[in-house]
Amino acid sequence: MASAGSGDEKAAAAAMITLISSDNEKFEVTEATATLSQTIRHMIEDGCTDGGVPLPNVTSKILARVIEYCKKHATAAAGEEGSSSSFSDAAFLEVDRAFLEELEEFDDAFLEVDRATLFDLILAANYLDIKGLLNLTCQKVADSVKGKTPEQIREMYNIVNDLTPEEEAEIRRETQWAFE
Amino acid sequence: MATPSGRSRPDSQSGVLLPGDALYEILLRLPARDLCRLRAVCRPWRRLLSDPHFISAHAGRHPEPLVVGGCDTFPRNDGIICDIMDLSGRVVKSVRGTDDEWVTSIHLNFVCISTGRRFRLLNLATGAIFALPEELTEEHAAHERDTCRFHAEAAFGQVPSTGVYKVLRVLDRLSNDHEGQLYEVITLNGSSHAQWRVKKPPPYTVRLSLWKIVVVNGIVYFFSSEVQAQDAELDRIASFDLETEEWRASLRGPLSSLEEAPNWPHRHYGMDELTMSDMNGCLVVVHRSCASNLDLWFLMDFERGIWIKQHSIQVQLSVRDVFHVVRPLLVLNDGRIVLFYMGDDKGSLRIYNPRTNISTDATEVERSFTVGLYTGSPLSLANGAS
Repeated sequence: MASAGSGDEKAAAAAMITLISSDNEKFEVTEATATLSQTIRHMIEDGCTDGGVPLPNVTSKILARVIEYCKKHATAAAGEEGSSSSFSDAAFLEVDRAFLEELEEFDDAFLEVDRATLFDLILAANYLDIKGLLNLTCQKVADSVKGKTPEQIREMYNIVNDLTPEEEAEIRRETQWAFE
Repeated sequence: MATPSGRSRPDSQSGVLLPGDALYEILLRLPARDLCRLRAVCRPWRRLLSDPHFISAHAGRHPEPLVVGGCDTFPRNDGIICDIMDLSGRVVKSVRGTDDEWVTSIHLNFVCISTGRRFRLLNLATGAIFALPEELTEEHAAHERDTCRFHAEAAFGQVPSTGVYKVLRVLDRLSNDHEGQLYEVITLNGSSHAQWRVKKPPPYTVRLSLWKIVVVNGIVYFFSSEVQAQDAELDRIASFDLETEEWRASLRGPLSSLEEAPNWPHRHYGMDELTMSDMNGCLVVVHRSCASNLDLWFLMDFERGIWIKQHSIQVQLSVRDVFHVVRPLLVLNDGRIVLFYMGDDKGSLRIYNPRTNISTDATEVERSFTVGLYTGSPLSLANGAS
């Protein structure tokens, strides 16, 4: 980055992006927060963010949560960059560790939402291409699915079993090891 | 991305639907065994979990190697000559053979099945079979009468630069002249007209015995019985390049390369065992001393003959089992090592952690005398009735 003159600082402060949710609510975020989304990063690179970025797939309720996640993790990313130069410094490593722990706690608390919100977050993370958020939310659901029987999954998600008994028997026969 | 929605109906309590794109991302993060089971949830899930694009995306995230154990049909009554197992020893798929067949090697997701001089190569991923011709080359036809009809050794591999599969076949002759062996190579080009081609003999006898040969990156390595100076080095290694189809200069083994190696090998002991393995794309010489220790020597540089003892594993065999073979198969991403123990009538799989020096409890599996890896996805292996 260029040396931090007052002009640059001004430019950095001005680098705000407006995100517009499906229900037309506007959110002002810094570029550093917004670019955790690869989708928005590409839009910025292509110079098509003037007048705000419409996100017709994301409601204001979900977008607010997504921005909360991005703000926290953008700060984390900035912190990592800052500390890498003094890598050998034990005090800095200690700070890093504390920060990572804090981030983990944040993530855990962030996931304390109902199932519908969790799915909406997955869809938003997928659409906005935010790797960390997608991984976090999907892993949460995956962990709850792990070890369950097909019957339990159908119950959890109200899925209608449209397989014939013969088809089900065939699946069991072909992959017996998965049912043992 | 067209993904099935899983025909969810609104949850009476929360109205939750499982959206298709979310489902795809969630299922990608589950282990293969869970996914095989979840095919029985409903048709859309089965379709997604059987889709080749999904399977390949999943395989990229979950490198879950499977172990392949091969034997002959004789000790088992079920006609099975080969089991593909997960690392917990659960059989994912079994392959049946005929009465007189046995598995001679497992390499690159292929199983080489022999009935003596005739070889079949089974592609475990596709089920395709290449039957190699049994007849000798024209040049060798004159030797038909003095070669053993019931025995040949073969090594199968892939030329890295071209991707072509080739097999080296060695036939012993029952004659008293010096040229005791015949050497032939065949290229598998997908046609049924592939023919063996004659290869010149190397300056040593070739033994492609069980545990004493591996193919790594298109090079067939085996212990050479070539005599160096006055002493035979039992760990000397010869090789054949499947690309150039030429024998290569033999290489000093790791133990003979040691500065102080006079006490090795204890040739008359019978307690030392020297085998080979290919681990993570590297030739490994495995030296077991007595019942306690397994040294894994990795060949780091062929030209300069550099060996590094990367692992020394305590195997803790009981005295009774001292003649059993321990075969290291793979170093996992987390550094643990997958080992296969071969017993008299049962085998076992263990995972050894070098940091703690502790192995997981042995999982007992069927006896196998050939062991290898299957690197394809468990999701594409259906255990049919075949």
